[in-house]
Amino acid sequence: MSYNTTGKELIDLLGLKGSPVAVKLAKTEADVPAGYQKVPEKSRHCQFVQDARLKGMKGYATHEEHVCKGGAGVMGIEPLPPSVADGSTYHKLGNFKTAEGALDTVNAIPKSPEAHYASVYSPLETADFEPDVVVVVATPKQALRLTQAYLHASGGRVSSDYSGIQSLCADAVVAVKERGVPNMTLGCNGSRKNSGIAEDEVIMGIPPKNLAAIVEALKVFAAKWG
Amino acid sequence: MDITYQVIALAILVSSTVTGFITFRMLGMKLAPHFGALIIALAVTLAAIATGTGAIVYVAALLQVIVALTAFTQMWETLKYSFQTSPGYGPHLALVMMLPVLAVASVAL
Amino acid sequence: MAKTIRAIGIPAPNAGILAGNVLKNPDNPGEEVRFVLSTGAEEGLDAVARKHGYTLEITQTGATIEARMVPSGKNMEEVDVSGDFCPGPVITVGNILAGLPTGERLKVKSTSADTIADVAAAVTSSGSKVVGEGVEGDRHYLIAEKAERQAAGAAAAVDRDRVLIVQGNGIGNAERAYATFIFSKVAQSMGRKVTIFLLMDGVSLAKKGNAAAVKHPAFDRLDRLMAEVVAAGATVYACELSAKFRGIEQADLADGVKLAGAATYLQLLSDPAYAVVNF
Repeated sequence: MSYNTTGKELIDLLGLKGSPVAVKLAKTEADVPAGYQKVPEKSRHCQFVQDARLKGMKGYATHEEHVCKGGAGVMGIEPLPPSVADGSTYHKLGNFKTAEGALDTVNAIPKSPEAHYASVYSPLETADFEPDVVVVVATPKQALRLTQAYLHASGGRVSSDYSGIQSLCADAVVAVKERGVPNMTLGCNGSRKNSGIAEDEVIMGIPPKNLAAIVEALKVFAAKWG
Repeated sequence: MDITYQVIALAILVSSTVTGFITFRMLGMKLAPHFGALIIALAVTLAAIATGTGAIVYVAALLQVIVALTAFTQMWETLKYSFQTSPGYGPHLALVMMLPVLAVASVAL
Repeated sequence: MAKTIRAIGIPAPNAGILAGNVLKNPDNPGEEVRFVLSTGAEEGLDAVARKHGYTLEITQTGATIEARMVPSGKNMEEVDVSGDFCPGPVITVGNILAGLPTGERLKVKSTSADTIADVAAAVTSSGSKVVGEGVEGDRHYLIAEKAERQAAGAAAAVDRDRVLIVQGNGIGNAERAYATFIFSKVAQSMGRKVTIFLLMDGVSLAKKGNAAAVKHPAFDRLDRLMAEVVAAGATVYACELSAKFRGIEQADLADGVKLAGAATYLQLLSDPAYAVVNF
């Protein structure tokens, strides 16, 4: 399915800086879309998302290209390093007062139950694959519109969960892929310091199945609210 | 009293010593009362035929019934649970169970 | 198929909000959804389930809660096999399980604990799982969950350290009856674990008092030999059907003998750790 129109409409209707990013977790090498090359440089998942968002980068990253093992770990691309998995890394980094607290958080981070060969990225409007998740880096107001658009169809409420670590990988990609429900997350030290997520930006992960309805709702809002 | 019945009974008793031996090995060697009755009945039946004495014929007939009875009492508890193995007891039991009829016939007819 | 969503660390009421959003928008309508939650997060989930037409079942496993949401009107199947004896229950359960999609559960109830044990053997032998067991009133039950049977993986080297003696002859054939227990003693002295499965005439040995009537001049009384073998750790099963045919009931069994069904027998025969011998 082509997301060409959807991608463009999202950018226009929300006034997004950059593109929404289509992210897919490929189980095997065969699952990587044809014609996609490995990302040009080793880096972190959050950087790959930003590159796709702001520079139109299309590519995939295996465990060799993933420099941040925490990100690669929760996406199942390689095993989570023991010092991350037991909480000691985050405890030492100062995030948590106690080792138990750190372990508690790490245990609850959304993690992929399956192993994956690579993560694949593309701006949504030029994506040639069916994404698992669409990651939108947005201002709070843009995130508000996205949330309102999601709830427009049948109402209710949205719950978002995050823990201030592993934001673009675990909260925005893995959680949304596993649950099929959008999640908003506030970034993390890594993504804000190393990958340029700006102070006034938050991140939302959206299931592709909801995009069509979201776009329709955004059009309604544009008509009604300007 | 037709002594012929006792002769047939004798034939059965002689044959039963062989079949009885085969059977007795399957049971684990606990057939002493029955075997004992069989041997005694054999001896008395011989005596009955040899002498022709009425009283001895009666005793022989009684012993022959006891042989059949002891076969039953000694083997029933086993046969009750041994559907597959009971055919192995067939020959001996078939013969021995003929004795009561012959015994009665030998004194009544 | 059931979908599992891990949501540890999300407390109530947020877990309920998440659940509601998941149920509103299912990938496969009619599919069961399971949430793995932290203790306490299940509060309010009942209302969420009902609102979207699901029934909620909560099970606690260690520190986590599994909240199963099953589309209502699609309750777990239940079957009561009380009064039926082997091979009836195993065949009944086997047929129902064969027709269930993977992940679906079946509750099997019976007044006989031995029947439930046999059904458990049948369930695991066919590749499915037993996910719960217990007692409710006068019924013993187990909950089976259908799983696809895994093909045998690379045959790992198996230590054949057990002996299964299939005993088809009983007190009517003294030599064969003795053979089983003498052989068991030898096997036990060689460090093998012994299991004896009595079937057909073999169950005559299972009845209290019967073995006492068997005595070969060269050996001890059969019941004493049997008791020694049991005391040394052998397991003795008596085929339920053969026992029934011969009028032997649970209450008649000698010490150390248990009634078992065909599924247990099959499981023993199929276990590569057993060397099988017939007497």
